[in-house]
Amino acid sequence: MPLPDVELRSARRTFTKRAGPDRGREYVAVHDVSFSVSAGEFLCLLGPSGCGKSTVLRMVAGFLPPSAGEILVRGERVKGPGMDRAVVFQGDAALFNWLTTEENVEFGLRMRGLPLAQRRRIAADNIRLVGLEGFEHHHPNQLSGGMRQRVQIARVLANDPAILLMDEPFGALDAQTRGIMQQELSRIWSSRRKTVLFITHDIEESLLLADRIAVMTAGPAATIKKVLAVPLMRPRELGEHFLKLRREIKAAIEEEVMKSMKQVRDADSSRG
Amino acid sequence: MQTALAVDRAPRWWANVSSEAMQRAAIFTASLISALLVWTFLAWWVGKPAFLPSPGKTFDGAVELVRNGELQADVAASFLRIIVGFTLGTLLGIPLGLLMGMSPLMRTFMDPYVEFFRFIPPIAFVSLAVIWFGLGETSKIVLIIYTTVFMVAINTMIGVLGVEPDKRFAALCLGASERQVFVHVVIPAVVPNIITGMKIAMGNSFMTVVSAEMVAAKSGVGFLIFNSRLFLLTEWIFVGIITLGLMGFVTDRALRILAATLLKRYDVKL
Repeated sequence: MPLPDVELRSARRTFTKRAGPDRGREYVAVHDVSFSVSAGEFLCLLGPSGCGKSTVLRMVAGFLPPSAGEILVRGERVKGPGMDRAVVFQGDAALFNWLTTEENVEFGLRMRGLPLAQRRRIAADNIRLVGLEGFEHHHPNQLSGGMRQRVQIARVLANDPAILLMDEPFGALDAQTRGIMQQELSRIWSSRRKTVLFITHDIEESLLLADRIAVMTAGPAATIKKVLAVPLMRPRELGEHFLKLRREIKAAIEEEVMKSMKQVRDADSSRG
Repeated sequence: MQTALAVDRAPRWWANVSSEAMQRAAIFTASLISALLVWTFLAWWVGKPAFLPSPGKTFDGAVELVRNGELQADVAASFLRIIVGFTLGTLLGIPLGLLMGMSPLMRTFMDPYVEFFRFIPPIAFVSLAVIWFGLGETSKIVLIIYTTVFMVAINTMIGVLGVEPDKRFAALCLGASERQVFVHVVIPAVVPNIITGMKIAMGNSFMTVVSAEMVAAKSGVGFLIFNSRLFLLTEWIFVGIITLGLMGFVTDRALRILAATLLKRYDVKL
């Protein structure tokens, strides 16, 4: 069997609380997280808000070292950020607002010292791919939220990474724009076939995009509840099978949400 | 100002002047005229030119000072001190601020000094500067450097600390080295903070130079104001004060235009 592109083996991450009554106490964000993403696969990490999905992504990206366990990318232990894994961030903070669309997209190429003509050509290809022609010379603050996420996507694609890590990239967009962006991403993924680890709390989004969905439990000490395959043809529509899968995942997620709400209530009553 | 901006856009500037701009220019003129009227009335009512000279007498004083060349010499002296001190202070303040922002060790080391000197205005150092650096240019320039370094360094440091971690992370996973992150992400991201620091420092430089010139100098607008008091030439004091206001206005505009043209992409808000 070939090596998976991304593999987590019992990854755990703890934080020390910096504020509040239990300041200084260890807090287990994620615990015993194991899953893998094979080459060219689109895997969604799905879970309720605050369950530590971003923590998992940041460990894979190399921004956060795991407190225990192992994170392997193509069989090698992750030591820090690398060009083989590109990240599309949730908000706009990751864009360089002093650069134009074109300059943002060619940033990685410039850092690697590619000549200007080549940079411009690759940037133009990727700007076209995400549908931003005509906005090459706009700055991020002149673009809409959906367009800014397109810039982020073009910027990582220009660098041609093997693995895309996407941290709720469409979370801040309105429902309509999100729908369009999901279709666009599906189209881009079909043409480029990257390995994708995509984080979301939106069940339908995961069903539209993923080959497999890893459902997380509620935090703290969140872990993988189960991994489901989505054996549906693309482009995906609301069919019988889709709805059946949605019910199944919804039940699993609701169970987790109820669990976390109960924990909050218990904590409140024990305090009061 | 409105017309000057419009000229940049089109040769036939009057075609671009909106009725709103015209209205604003009219209100601006009306404001100036009413101030002159109130001033004239008060001067007439008081009736003592040595106590409150009229606008006319002040204008005569200005003409006299320009004719004997004194006003130009004083403006040039003050401006030169400000430009030299402000430039050197900025050139020192930016790297110091970057260093304080990037290195927690440096930040902790500098913290007691920052907290201590925050409450000491440059004016408090005037006498000391004269003792150490004499009555010449050095003492004034050193004081302006002091106030500028302080303001620029602190604002730069705040800027560095405020750079979103996601920007660094994004650059790192796009293949940038730590050095490249500093040059291509941190520095451009803090440009607006540097400009804010420079703007505050410019205001402080004016205050500093005038007070230093009042205490110990043979030239400069502050010297003009202080010296005129000895001869009870109140209209010259007025000329000095108005000149300062105009100098401040001109520098502020120059800084704004410079920032708006050279640093447009950094979205500097002034």
